[in-house]
Amino acid sequence: MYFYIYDSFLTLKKHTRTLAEVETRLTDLGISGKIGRLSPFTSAKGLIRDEVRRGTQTIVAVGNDETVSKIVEGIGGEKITLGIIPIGEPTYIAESLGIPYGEGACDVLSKRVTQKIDLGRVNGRFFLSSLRIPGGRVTIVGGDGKYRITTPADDCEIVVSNLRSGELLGVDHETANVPGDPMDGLLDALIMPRVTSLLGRRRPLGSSSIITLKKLDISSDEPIDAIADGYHFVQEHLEIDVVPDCLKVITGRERVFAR
Amino acid sequence: MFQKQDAMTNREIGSEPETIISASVKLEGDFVSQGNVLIEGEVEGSLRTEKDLKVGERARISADVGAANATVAGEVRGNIDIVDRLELEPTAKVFGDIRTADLVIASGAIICGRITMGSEGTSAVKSSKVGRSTKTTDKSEATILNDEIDDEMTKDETAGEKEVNKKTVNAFFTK
Repeated sequence: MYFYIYDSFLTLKKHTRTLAEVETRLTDLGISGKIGRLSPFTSAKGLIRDEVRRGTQTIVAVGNDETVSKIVEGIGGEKITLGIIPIGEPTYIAESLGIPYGEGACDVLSKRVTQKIDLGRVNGRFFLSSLRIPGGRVTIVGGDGKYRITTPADDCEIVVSNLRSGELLGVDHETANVPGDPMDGLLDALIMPRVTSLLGRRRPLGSSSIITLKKLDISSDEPIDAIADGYHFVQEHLEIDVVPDCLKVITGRERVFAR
Repeated sequence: MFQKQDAMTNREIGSEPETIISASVKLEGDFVSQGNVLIEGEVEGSLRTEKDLKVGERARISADVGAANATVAGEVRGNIDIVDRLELEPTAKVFGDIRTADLVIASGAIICGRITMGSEGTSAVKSSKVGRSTKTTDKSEATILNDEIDDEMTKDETAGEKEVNKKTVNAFFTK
């Protein structure tokens, strides 16, 4: 049985038509199911908890990357299969999983090709794609405290990636690659030096560093502004690790991993 | 794991690097990797990988280094222990002992330390001294080194060990 969770922004008029097409297609494919709606008073965690008790095994996130983020956080370590119907922007996570926008995603859902992927975890909160620290000087401690990496004096953007996404593909690299295999049991930390121009635009400065690890701590003298799958938060210290084979997710043929 | 990579870097290192320490980053402590490593920045402590290591021209390493294969173009202050092949580029500076099975030294590379090599080199052959501060700038200089080593070797080493150390000198003529 499928349980569809709609994000609150889908009530906007511009999404009405896409949503109607999706619902029609789901009915045609015989995979329509119960619908839950997120709102300021309804959390994904609460909705998922109730549905798991009722025996639901597949949760489908209908919305953008932030919707997926909320639902991944809600699923946590539960043995649930995640499906995605991308509507709105940005939808980098769905793209990386090979899921087409809107109605096309219904066919991927009905084929139900699943992959067991890793999840990243930052201070106990799960993330599927990446954790971004847009700027500031930080110290990264890896290898269970055996080594530490200090970033340059200039501003530096740090991305801890679990799943390679278009968000990362857009980053300009000189020597570094674009990492992110969510089935390797590892996270990839990218350290990208940046410089801010007089007009306030930030651009890459020199080449990027990539370190592959299972666990890392990030600390700074100042509170760290971080974004996990589109979710903003501020913490003084970040403990990040990977939880291998944590989530079963429905993927399309165009996924960027395990082809 | 990686999708795109600078073609030159890939070719030089043999395959795609999994860890890259770029020019502006400093790594301190004991770093252990199971994949290929490319260093362009600073490293202090120790650095070990089960695969290949490339030390870029601007890299400064103050650490003991271990890898399966390595190409060094930057500065290494510490001992280098390579299982298979070590290549020193013209800009390489090594201040420490080298232990490797196969060695290629380009003209211009600087070595200050002992070199132990040959397939037996990795199984603790007694090392020979190859000058305290040696710059292999041309063929004639390498020939002088050859004589010096031969003199030292005749003192107290066996004929088998001598054979192994001659390989060290032959490596000077590769480029």
